[in-house]
Amino acid sequence: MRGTFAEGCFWVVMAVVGLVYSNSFEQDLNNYALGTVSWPRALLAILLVFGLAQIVLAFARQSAVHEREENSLPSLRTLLRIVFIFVTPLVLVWLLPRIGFVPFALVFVFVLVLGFGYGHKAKAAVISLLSTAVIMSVFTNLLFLPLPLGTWPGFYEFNSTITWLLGG
Amino acid sequence: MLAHLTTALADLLTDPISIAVVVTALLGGLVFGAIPGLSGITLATIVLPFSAYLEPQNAIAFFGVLYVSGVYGGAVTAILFNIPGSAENAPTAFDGYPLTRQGKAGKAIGTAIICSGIGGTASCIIMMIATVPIADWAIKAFGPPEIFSVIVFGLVVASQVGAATPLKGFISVIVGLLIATVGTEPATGAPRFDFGSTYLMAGIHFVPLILGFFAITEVFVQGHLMVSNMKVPARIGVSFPTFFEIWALKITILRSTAIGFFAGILPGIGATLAAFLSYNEAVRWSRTPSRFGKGELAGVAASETANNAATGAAMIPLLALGLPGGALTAIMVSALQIHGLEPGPIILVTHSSLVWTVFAAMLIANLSIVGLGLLESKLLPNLLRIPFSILGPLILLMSTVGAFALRNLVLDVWVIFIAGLAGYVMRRTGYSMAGVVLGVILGDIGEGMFVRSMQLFNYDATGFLHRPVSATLLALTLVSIAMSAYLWLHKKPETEEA
Repeated sequence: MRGTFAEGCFWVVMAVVGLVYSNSFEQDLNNYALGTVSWPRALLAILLVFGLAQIVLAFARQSAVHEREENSLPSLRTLLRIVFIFVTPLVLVWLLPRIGFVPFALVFVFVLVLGFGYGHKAKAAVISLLSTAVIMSVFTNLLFLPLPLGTWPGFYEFNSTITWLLGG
Repeated sequence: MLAHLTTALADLLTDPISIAVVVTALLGGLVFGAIPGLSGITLATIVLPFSAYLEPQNAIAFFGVLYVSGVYGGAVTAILFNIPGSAENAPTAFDGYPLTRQGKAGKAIGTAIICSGIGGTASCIIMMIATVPIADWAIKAFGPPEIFSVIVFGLVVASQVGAATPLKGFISVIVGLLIATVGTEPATGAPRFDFGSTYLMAGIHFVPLILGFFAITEVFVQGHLMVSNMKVPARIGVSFPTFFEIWALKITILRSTAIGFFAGILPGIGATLAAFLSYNEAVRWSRTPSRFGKGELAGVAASETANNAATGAAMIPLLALGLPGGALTAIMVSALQIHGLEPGPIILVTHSSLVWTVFAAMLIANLSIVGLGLLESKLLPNLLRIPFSILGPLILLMSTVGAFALRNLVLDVWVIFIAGLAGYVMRRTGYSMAGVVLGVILGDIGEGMFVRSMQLFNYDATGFLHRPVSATLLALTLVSIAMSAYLWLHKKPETEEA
């Protein structure tokens, strides 16, 4: 019940925030009487109704069968590993335009392979090197897809050098 | 028709460059579609600028063949990894992946091959016979109100796929439709929900969302199971389906071909809606609907027949009306324009040899899929032998490249990972990711059709009810909503699961 109630509140808040924000881009249109905001506001209004319905149902249907009742919480170590798997990609994506694709890919694969439980650090490093080299060769040299070269000092030169060495 | 087809086949098979183009597109679509994180759309986006150097018929034939092989290729990852290569392969995963878990990956892939080949070939033949008359009928019978009604019906159907309750399914669709409003208003280009960001003004593309909701989410889910020591390795099975297993699916295949073809004709909707509608009808008409979602071959057959049947049909609005049926056909419009050709009724008259070359290339592709697919069904299940601790990060990396390749925007890479996290939460809480994705894909088209309809009706919404096709579809929508609500209210609480 708590989960359904929380979800309902989330949708209600999202709908209200959206409706308020829609004032910032409200415009009349010459050729369309309903303007620029009618469609998104209609959707937000429906979402608001559905969110309220969820809140009502959370109290009306006590079974709340769509909630998972965990019999036991995972250990702290497992929890940290799960958070690591989820958060690491986001941190690395933030770094991607700054450090360029080559360091990103090397670190990304190495760190996540180990994070997923692969025990051999040396093999993980080899997998990381090989996968980065293959992707760079195929996408940059064969398919001419430009990948980020980085903006931080030194990284642009590093990425460009690697691209050149691989035949780009 | 036979004379045109024979001439086109002769032109195609006697020109080495044409042969090279068809083979490259065939293999490219199969390979790119079969790599989790990539898709035929990725390859199409990359190749588009280079198509200017090809002859027009070779350029268009390339994308036509890529469309066919990419749709099939995406089924492989859907079956093996629960990661659909494209949105139209999503229903394939519902039963394909459970079959893999049961050690029947070969049967699932084999069924997908055969049904894709049948659906695609039938669609190709009908396309060749009926493009002009069907285009005439579509122009007269389907205007903006009808297309809007089909979209509403399709979204309601898709909302129940994977949702724990009807309400959560509808919320999923609304969220998808809202995501589609980010960017600019379709009629005037006025910015909406951009929060002051020039990147968001470009809108949120559905391809990174599909990657995020399916590929990234699946990796996160599997990763969670792995670190919690709860992951059960899939059993590897390469046996092909028997003739009798395929024969038992004949009604499903026939029905799905029809659904796929007619859904594929509708502009902007195409293979994705075809696959979902066909899957839903397979469940509805089955004597054992409870088996769907747990490894039912008919589920794979319905989805794959329909999405490939839609490929031929999607060429009809593309060539006859200039309206794309999906992302890849939208790229084909660009390819035509690069060569100074404008898709529309005129092209069928002024460039009929080009049109027939494309038809012939797609027919060859559909027939070739069966042979190549047989090979794939023996080789690809062995990918399951790769430890997921290695495969998972590689899938994430390929998805990153696939997302960036679309528009060279890091925003799309952010989208895949944020969508991946959101998808992980949604799966645990019983929302329909298929509903969200379909809402995003159809949101812009739906809004555009609604706007045009309201202008047509002078802002009187009852106008939808005065048109027979539109009224029928909306009535079916209400019936579908009522049935879902009734079944949910009368379901025993202890049998429901997230």
